[in-house]
Amino acid sequence: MRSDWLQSWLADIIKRKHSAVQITLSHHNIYIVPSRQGGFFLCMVILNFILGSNYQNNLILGVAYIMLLILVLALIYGYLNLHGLTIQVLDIKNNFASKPVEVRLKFTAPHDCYSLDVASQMYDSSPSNSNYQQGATVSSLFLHSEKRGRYQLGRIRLSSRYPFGLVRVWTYLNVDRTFCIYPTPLSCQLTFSTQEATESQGQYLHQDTQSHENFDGLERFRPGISKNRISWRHFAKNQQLLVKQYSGDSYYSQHTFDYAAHDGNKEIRLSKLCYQILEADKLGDTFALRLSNAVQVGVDRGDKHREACLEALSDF
Amino acid sequence: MTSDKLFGAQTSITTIVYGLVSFLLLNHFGVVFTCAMLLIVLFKLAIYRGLIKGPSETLINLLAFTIILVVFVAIGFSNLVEMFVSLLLGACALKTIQAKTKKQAMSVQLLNFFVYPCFFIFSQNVLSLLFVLVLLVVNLAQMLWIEHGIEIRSASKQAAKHLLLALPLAAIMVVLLPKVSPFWQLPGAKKTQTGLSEDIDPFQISELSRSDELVFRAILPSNAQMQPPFYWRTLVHDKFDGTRWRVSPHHDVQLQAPYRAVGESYTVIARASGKTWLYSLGQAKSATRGVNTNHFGTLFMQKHLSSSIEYQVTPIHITDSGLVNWQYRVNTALPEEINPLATEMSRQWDSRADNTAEFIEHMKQYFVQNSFRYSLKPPTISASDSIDVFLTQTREGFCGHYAATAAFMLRAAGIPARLVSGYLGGEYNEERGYYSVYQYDAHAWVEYYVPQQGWYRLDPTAWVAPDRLTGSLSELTELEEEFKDNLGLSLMSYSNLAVVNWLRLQIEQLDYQWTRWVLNFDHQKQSRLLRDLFGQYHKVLPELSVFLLLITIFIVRFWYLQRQQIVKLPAAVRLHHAVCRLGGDGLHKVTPSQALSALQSQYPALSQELEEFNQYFVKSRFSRAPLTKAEAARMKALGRLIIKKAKK
Repeated sequence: MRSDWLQSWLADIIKRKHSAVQITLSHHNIYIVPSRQGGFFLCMVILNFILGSNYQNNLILGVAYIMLLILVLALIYGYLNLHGLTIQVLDIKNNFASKPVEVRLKFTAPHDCYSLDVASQMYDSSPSNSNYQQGATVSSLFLHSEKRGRYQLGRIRLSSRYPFGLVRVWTYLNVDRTFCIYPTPLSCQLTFSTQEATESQGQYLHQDTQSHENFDGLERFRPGISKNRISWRHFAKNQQLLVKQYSGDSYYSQHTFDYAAHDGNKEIRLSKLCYQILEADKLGDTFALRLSNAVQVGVDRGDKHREACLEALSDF
Repeated sequence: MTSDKLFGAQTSITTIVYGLVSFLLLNHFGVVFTCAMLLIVLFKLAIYRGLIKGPSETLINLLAFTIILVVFVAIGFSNLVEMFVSLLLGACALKTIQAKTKKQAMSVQLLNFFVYPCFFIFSQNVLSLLFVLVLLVVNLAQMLWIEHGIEIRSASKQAAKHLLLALPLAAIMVVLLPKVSPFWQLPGAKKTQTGLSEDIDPFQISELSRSDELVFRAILPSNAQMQPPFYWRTLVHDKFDGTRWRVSPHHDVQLQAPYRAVGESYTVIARASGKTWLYSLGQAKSATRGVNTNHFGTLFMQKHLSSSIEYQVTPIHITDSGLVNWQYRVNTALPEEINPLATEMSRQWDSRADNTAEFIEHMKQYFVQNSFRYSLKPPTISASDSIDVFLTQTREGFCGHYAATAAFMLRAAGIPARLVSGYLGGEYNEERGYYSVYQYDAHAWVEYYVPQQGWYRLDPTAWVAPDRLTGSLSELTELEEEFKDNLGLSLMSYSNLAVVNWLRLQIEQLDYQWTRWVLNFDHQKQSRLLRDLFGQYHKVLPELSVFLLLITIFIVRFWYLQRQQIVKLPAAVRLHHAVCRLGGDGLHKVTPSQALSALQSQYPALSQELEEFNQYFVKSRFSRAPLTKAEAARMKALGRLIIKKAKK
C-alpha cells in the first residue's frame, strides 16, 4: 500500500521534472548512488581496515583510506561525467511489428562523456553503451515492441557507471511523443475496387504488370515521390537524384484498399492492407484507404501519404 | 578488439601481476608454491594466445584442489598468514582463468583491492609502497578499460589522477584519525633470515656468511654511561654438549628477581625478524607493551616479531642472591673426556691463579703470545677435540671460536661461564644521531660468574682483534677484503667509493625516517603529535578537522571542475568582452561589430587598431578555419594594446 503510494509519488515527480523534448543535465536532475560493485568495493575497504588495524600496519590502513576516498571521488566524477550533457529526441522512425523502432537522439556534450547507457523504461530496448566525445553526436535507440498500435514513447532512462563501475548515475527523459507500430505485411493479391477508381478518375486500366516498357524519361526528384522510382544508376554515376518517368498516366493505377474486401480476423486484414499499401507505393500508384465509414484516407501518392495510411492502420 | 579478447587481455595482465607478487614473496612462499603460480601464469598466457583451449569446469576444480594441496604441503599450517595469502593468490589466479564475462572480470579486479595490500604484511619499505601503489593504478586502469572501454593510455592517466588525489588525503587521515586497537590477534608473517642462531658450533663453519641486512637501530642518549663498545645482548647459551652451545631453555621465562633501574632510557627500533628475542645493552627492562625481561636480563617477546617494533629500554641491575645450586651446576657442566689438552691447560692456570681475574690473565697471555689470528674464513675442525686442535694447531678463527674456547676453559677450571650472542657496535649516523646495527655485526662473547659480585663480561676476541671493539665490523680496515668477499654484491661492498657510500647512507636515512614515522606511527606517537598540534582539544579536533578538510577539499575540487566546464568561452570572445568593457555597460546590448564601431567613435585615435581587431574577431568566430597561432597571438596583442592605450 505504502510502497504503491511512494512509487506513484516518485513517478509523478519524475514526470514533472523530466518532461521535455530536450534536457540539460545538472544537479537537480541527476541521481547518483553507489552501485552493487561499489558496495563490494566498500566491503574491501572494511576488510582492509580490519586487516590494517589488527596488524597495526599503517600502510594497509592507508590503502583502506585511499579506497574510501576513491569511492567518494567516484561519486563526484560520476556526477561530473553526465553534468552539462544535453539530450534531445530528434525523431522516431515507425516500423512494422516485431521490427525495432528507431529513436534518434542527439547528445551535446561539453566534455567527453563515458559509458552512457540509454534504455527505454517502457519497452525492451537494445542496450547501447558508448562513450561520447566532446561535441554533438546523434545516436539511435532501438525499441522492440511486438504489437501493432500507437504508443507513447514514455520514459527514457540514461545511466552511466563511470568511473570504475563503482557508482550508478542516472536520469530520465520523459518525451511526450508517440510512435506507431504498423501491422506486419502479409502478402496477398492486389485487389481493386474498380468502380470507385473509374468513377473518380474516369479511367481504368488494369495494370498488373511489373515490366516497365513504357519508359519515358527522367525528371528531378522532389520530396514526396516514392523512393522506389529513383534511378540509382544515375545517382551512383553523378550524385544526382533523378526519378524514372513512365509514359502515360495509364501506367500508374489507382486503387482503393478496403478493409471490408478482405477476409480473416482483424489483424490479418490489416496486415494484408499493409502489404497492399506497400506494393502500391512501390509501383508509384495512387491509392486510397478505407477502413470503415469513419476512418478513410483520401486518394494520393507519395511517402507522406503512405505514412498516413500506415498510421491509420496502426491506430485502427 | 572484441570484448572476449579484451577480457582475456585484462585477466592475463592480472595473472601476470599475481605471478610477479608470488615471485617477489619467494622467501615467504617457498619455491614450490611460486613455481606453481608461475605455471598458472604460463597456462593462462597459453590460453590467451590461443595455443590451448580454455579449461573445463572439472579441470579448474582439479587445479584448485592441486593448489590447495601444494599450499598445505609446501607452506603448511605452521605459517598461517603465508597459507592464507597464498591460498588467496591461487584462488584469484584460477578465477582469472575462468573469468569470461565482464562481471566476472570486474569481480577479480575488485578482489585485487584486498589481495594487493596483503603484500604489506610481508614487506613494508618505501619500494613496496611504490610497488603496491603502481599495482593499484594498474588495477583501476583495468577497471576503466573493462567497464567503459576506455583505451589504456587515457585509462591509466585517469586512474593515476584519482589515486594521486586520494593519496595525500589518505595520509592525513592516517595521521589524524584515531587508531583503533586490534580487534583480535592475527598471526604474523614468519621470516627466514641469516642472523643469530640458537645453537653455536663455530668449528664447523668454514666461512662466516654475513649479510648487510639491517637488524635494528638505536637512539642512545649522549651521556658518559653510553659509550662504546656496545655489546647488544640477545641470546644466552648455557648448555654445552661437546660440540654445540645451545640456547638456555629459560630464555622465555619472565624475570622474578628484584631489580633496580640504573640509567637513562633509550629507544630501539627493531626490524621484523620472525624471532622472539630482542636487543639491549647489558641487563634491561622495557616499558613497551609485549616486551618482557627474562632472568638473564635480556628482552624477549611473547609472539614472533613479524613487523618492525619500536621499544623503550631502561638499563637495570638484577639484585638477586647469587647462583643457586642448580644454576651453578648448569653453568659449569662439561661433557666428560673431551679436549684433554685444554682441560689440562686450564687446570694448570687455575692452580697458579688466586682469583678469576688472574686465571683470565693467564688465558689472555696464552692467546697473545701464541699469535692467534682473527679471520672470517677459518679452516673447519671436525675432530671431536676441536678446542685442542684450535688451541694448538689452527689458531685462527672468529668470535665464536674464541668465545667457545674461553667458556670451555673457564668451565674446566670450575668457574661458571656461559656464551652470549648478540651484536657488537653499530654504524653511527651523525646527521640524525642513531646507530644502525647490521647482521654482519653479529658477535659472541663470554660471561663468567664471580661469587658475591655477579656476572662479568669477557670478550676473548678483543685479545686478538682489539679494533673489533670500537665501531662496526665494516670499519675494520684490516679485514676489509675478507669482509667484502663475504658480503657479495651489495652497496656496502662498494662503500669505499664516496658516491656509493653517500647514496647508501641517504637510503639508510630515508629508511630510518620511514620506519620511525610511517611504519611505527602508533597510538602513542599519534596522541603525542595530536597533543602538540591541537593542545587541549586533541580528543575532538582531529576527527572534526579531517571531516572539515575532506568536505572543503571535495567542495573546492567539485566547484573547480564544474567551473571549468561552464565558463569556457572562446578566447576571442573573452578578449572582445574585455575590450568592450572600455565602452561601459551599453555595449552588451549590441552586436560585437556594432560595439567595436561604437568604440571607434569613442576613441578615434584607436580606430585603426579596433578595425583590425574586428577583422580578427570576425575571422575567428565566423570563418570555418580557426585562427593560426600567429593570428591568435596578434589578436591578443591588439586587444591588450587597445585596452592599454584607451586607459591612458
